[in-house]
Amino acid sequence: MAEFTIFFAQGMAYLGAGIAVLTGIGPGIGQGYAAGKAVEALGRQPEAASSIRTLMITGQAVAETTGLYGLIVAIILIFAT
Amino acid sequence: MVDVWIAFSSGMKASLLITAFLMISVTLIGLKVKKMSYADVPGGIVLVAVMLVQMFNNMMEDFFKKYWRQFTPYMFTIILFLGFANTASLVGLATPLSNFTIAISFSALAFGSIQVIALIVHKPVKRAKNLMEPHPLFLPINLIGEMSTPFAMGLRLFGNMLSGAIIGIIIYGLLSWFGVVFGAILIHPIFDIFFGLIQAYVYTILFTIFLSMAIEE
Repeated sequence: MAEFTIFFAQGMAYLGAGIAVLTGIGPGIGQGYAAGKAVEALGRQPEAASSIRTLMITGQAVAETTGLYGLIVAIILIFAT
Repeated sequence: MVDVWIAFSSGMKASLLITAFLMISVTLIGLKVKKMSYADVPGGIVLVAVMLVQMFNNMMEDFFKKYWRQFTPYMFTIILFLGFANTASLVGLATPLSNFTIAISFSALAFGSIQVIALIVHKPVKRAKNLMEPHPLFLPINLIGEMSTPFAMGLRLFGNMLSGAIIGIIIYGLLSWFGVVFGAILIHPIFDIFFGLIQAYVYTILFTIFLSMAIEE
């Protein structure tokens, strides 16, 4: 087995950082679905364009958070061993 | 004295400069507004300030039914500081919110002010009864919810601003002179102006919603 040197720990940290960014798939699917529903609602009633736009931007900014958690974990793993 | 200034990290220095700039300019604009009488027509920067405050008051009246006059100045201060802080890397400063300490203190500000304001407006007995709202067994779930949502608010700002700063460092480091043109056209408008202003707006709206949920019956 490998001895637990600093190189081994750093290599494992880089692997873990790569796996942690895979949580970006969740917000990608969810926000794309929400944007599709927003465009469909716009086609149904074009007068409410500005309030649909505001609501969609707000909802996507809130749904982005869980994807950001994976990014923060990856950054901590890369820069702090 | 110079040692204290050098020892700060670049995010703290930018935050102090932004605070000083906002204090001076808002005081000067307020003095100009106060000197006008009712029949004068405002012009120039006074007109911009009056229109901004009126637009923000109309937005806040939809959320707070009873207490909007007390809390609108607090919300306007937060959105003014966050708006200037997220776009500060356009003038050469570092963004204050890419520093972990400042971002965590924003989430501590949201948590602390909601608890203190709810304890002042409702008496502690009524506040405890509000926390056990559907059934007394819901008390741990409500407590965890009160703590985790302000934490997520601060962390959202931190993640957005830090990723913009890291991508900027990579682009400027790899492409020497072409990187400056590429950064000016693509990186700064997307990561600083677009994402920064949207996240400032989302923080203010979430703060307003949680504060009005904790205060109004």
